[in-house]
Amino acid sequence: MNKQCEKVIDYFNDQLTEIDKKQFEEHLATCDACQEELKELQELTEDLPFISEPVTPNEGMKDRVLGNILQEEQEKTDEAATPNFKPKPQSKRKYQTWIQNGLAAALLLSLIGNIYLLNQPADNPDSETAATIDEIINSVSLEDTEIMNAAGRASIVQNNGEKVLLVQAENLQKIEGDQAYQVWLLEDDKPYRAGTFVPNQAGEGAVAFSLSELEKSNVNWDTIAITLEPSADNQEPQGDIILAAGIES
Amino acid sequence: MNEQDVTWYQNIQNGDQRALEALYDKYEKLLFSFVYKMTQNREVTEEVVQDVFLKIWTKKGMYDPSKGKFSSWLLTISRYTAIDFMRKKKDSKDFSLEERDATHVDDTSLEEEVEWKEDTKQIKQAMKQLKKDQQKVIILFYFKALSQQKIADQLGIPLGTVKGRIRLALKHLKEKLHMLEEKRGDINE
Repeated sequence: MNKQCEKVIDYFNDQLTEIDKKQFEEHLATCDACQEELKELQELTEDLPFISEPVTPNEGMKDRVLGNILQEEQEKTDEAATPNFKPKPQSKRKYQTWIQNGLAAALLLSLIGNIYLLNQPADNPDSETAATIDEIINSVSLEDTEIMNAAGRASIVQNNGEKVLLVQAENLQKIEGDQAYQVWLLEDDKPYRAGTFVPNQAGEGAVAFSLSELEKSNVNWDTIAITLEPSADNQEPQGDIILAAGIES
Repeated sequence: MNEQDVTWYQNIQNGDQRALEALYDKYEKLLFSFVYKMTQNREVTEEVVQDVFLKIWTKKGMYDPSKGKFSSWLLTISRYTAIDFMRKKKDSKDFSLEERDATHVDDTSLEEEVEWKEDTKQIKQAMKQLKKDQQKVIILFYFKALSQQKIADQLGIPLGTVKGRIRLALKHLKEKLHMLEEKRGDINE
């Protein structure tokens, strides 16, 4: 009995960290007992969904769901045809990158039929990056304020449906103590944190921030601002705005 | 019924929107009910169901008919999609056991829907025959998809005994189910 064998339950429930999951999958490839246990869990649980009490789906759900799915398909086609990228209308759907873990997926699929965690988090860059292309959806230059003569640019880049905010700034003053530069996206006047950075010796700083969480929360930001904060973990902006610009979500 | 699903699935792979709609119509309520039982949140449930159908529509060749029933596969995908969404929204709510909004449960039943008729009746009966603590193990493990540690915490039992408890509860459930099926004597598979 290997220590890895104790992880079967957490693997079945997709509760392992990425590292633990990889380690377990390596172990699984050679452990008959774990393969057997996973298969058994699958068999023993296959009827369980039918215990669920019947619930009427949300009103209008079918139209929304199918509409969103087909709309995305349409947008993909449009994007392929026109090089000029238009900002997407706000859609309820939140894209995720799902990546099938090549070897592990093939292994599991062959072992225990069609069960596999198809929902890999997006931090497995190896398998799909070659086939995807980054596209700039929106890019604005940031205006400096009286505080310092800084300059910067913010861009929203889309890769395979996931939007990332990229911010670069220069001519930044050196920080002192716990200070850090903080990026905010503002919806009306409500700020949402969008990354933290400290400048290098040359006064340059940059941030890449995934927008999927904000999109998921349906935040419609209209402004980006960079502040100099007294500490890196402020939840609300306290410091002065250094750079700002309007930017569409 | 599985052949119909497989045909639809294959047509969907070829971009047939009507097949997508047919598949959606057939499974909407089952998936919604199942995912709602896991997430206890209607909005999240809709997102999960949409994500599942988006995968079916855009990802080619995910389902392999030689590996088992389409419905089992679909439910498995839905479960893992739900787990993923629950992880991302873990701040939104602690999904408690007893919490259940009665107004959300309708008076029709999954039994009226197509082929999962018999499945539904018998598994529910079998579940009722289990002891309460075994039912709880199954809910925490399968529907809440908690980690071993969290299950141990919730049940107040040592971590090392969680796996054994889960297997025992599941096996009891399966036995009860078999007994019910034998009693009916109409096993089709």
